[in-house]
Amino acid sequence: MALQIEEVHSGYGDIEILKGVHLTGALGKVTGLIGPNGAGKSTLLKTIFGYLKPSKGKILFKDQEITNRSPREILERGISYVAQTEGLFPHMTVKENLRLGGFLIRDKKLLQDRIDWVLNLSNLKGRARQAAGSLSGGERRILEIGRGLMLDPDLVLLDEPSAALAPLLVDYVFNHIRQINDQGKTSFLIVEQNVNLILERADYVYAMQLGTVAHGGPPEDFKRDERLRKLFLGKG
Amino acid sequence: MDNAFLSSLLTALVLGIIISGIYALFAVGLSLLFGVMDIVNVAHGELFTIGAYLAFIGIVLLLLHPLLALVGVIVGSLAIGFGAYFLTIRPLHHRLGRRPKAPVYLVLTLGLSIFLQNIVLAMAGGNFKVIPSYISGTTNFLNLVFVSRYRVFIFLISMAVVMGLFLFLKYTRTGLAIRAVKENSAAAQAVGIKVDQIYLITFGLVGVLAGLSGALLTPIYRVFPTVGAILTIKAFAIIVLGGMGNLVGALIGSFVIGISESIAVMFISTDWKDLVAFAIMIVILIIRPSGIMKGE
Repeated sequence: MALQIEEVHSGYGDIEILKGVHLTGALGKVTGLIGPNGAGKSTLLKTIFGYLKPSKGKILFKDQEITNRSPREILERGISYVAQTEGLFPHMTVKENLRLGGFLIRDKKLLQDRIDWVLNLSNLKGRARQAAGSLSGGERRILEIGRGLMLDPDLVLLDEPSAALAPLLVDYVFNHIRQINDQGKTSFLIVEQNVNLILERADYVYAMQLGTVAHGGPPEDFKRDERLRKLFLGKG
Repeated sequence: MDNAFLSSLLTALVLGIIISGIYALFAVGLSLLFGVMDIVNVAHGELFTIGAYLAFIGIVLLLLHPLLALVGVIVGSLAIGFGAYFLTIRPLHHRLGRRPKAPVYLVLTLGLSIFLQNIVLAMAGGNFKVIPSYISGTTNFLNLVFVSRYRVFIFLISMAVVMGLFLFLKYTRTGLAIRAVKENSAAAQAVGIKVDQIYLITFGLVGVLAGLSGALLTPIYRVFPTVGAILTIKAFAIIVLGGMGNLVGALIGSFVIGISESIAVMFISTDWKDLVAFAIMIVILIIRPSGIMKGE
């Protein structure tokens, strides 16, 4: 995956959260981003997607600079974003949510084809006319991810897919992510608080600490290396 | 029940339904703006007033055909709505880098309201202006109710515009985007909707709805610089009753208030008519604070 982040500083107003994030190594089909609270994981996703403007540094995607671009321009370049919470339009139907996911698609037939594809993939075909807010927590998460796939992106930035979900639903969501991976070209960069979960599910993991990337490597690194285990898994 | 009373009751009901149409046209815009941008627009009545004066200019001063004058009102009100957004809301958003909290909008639109009232006063003077009704004659329902054709005309136009707005919001791409921003502006941005553009379109739409209601009502009421301010307060009662930000609620609220007022004046003095709306609003706030249709 061709995402390069070079010495990015970013935050909220005068509060700097990212203090020189450098991420130019490999990204897998599913890449995890772990770290303690306040390390800057969600801030990094928001900065990549253009919600936050970096004060310093550069972000490149497929060799094109996307620093300071708007979310719409970044979507057009093949990156979509799924927020941690409340990312749906709860009073609209499942289908309307997906139509909105494909808002940039002007071709009506292509839009309908994409909606059908996502409805099938997410097992929500029978619920297309149901209000999104009436779905279960796991289904809502699947719908959010499905909406993020409407433009057939190269990369989905996924903020804590397991947040506020029961363990069974977490499995359901991650199985879907793997299924999407197997069926298409889309890669995922996933922020996850549940470190053990992401080490099981990701191909590659980056660990953040105090606004910088402290380590990047395959999940086995984190399981083997005593220092990393201590730092990020809280185990000696 | 004697025939005279039945006739009075039916007349009150029909007149109530007719005035509800105008209330709906006016209040739906106020509710839409609140739903999309969290703006309690105190200057909504001034958009109504400007629409009324534009109709006066078109029909009385320029002697245009009334329908042509109404087209002029729509274009002028759209421009006023866009102007209000570009000159007040947009600079505020850019300065802050985000949307401010609702009280900031309240003070801003209050200032805009006073500013527009004074501009109108300076340009048109404080005298009442009158537009003669351009549709004459009465319509007879069941030989019991006699209503002027003009009132039926404004009801039909108002309802057609409100229904058109609902269909536009439900079935068009821009309508879908407006509803998306109304529900969740951050998520709307994440799917590629230009939220600033939606705010602009909403302001334009709201300007047209308020301006058109002012233009339609002028042949019934006289026009003066603060005419819209009175209606704004009533529209607040309507949207609180229906549920703030809920458009169907605003429509229902308009009919509840319009019909209640009309029937109430059979039993109380017309001087007390305006109290009916606020009495209903207070009761609803106590027993169901989110309004009939659950607003925000």
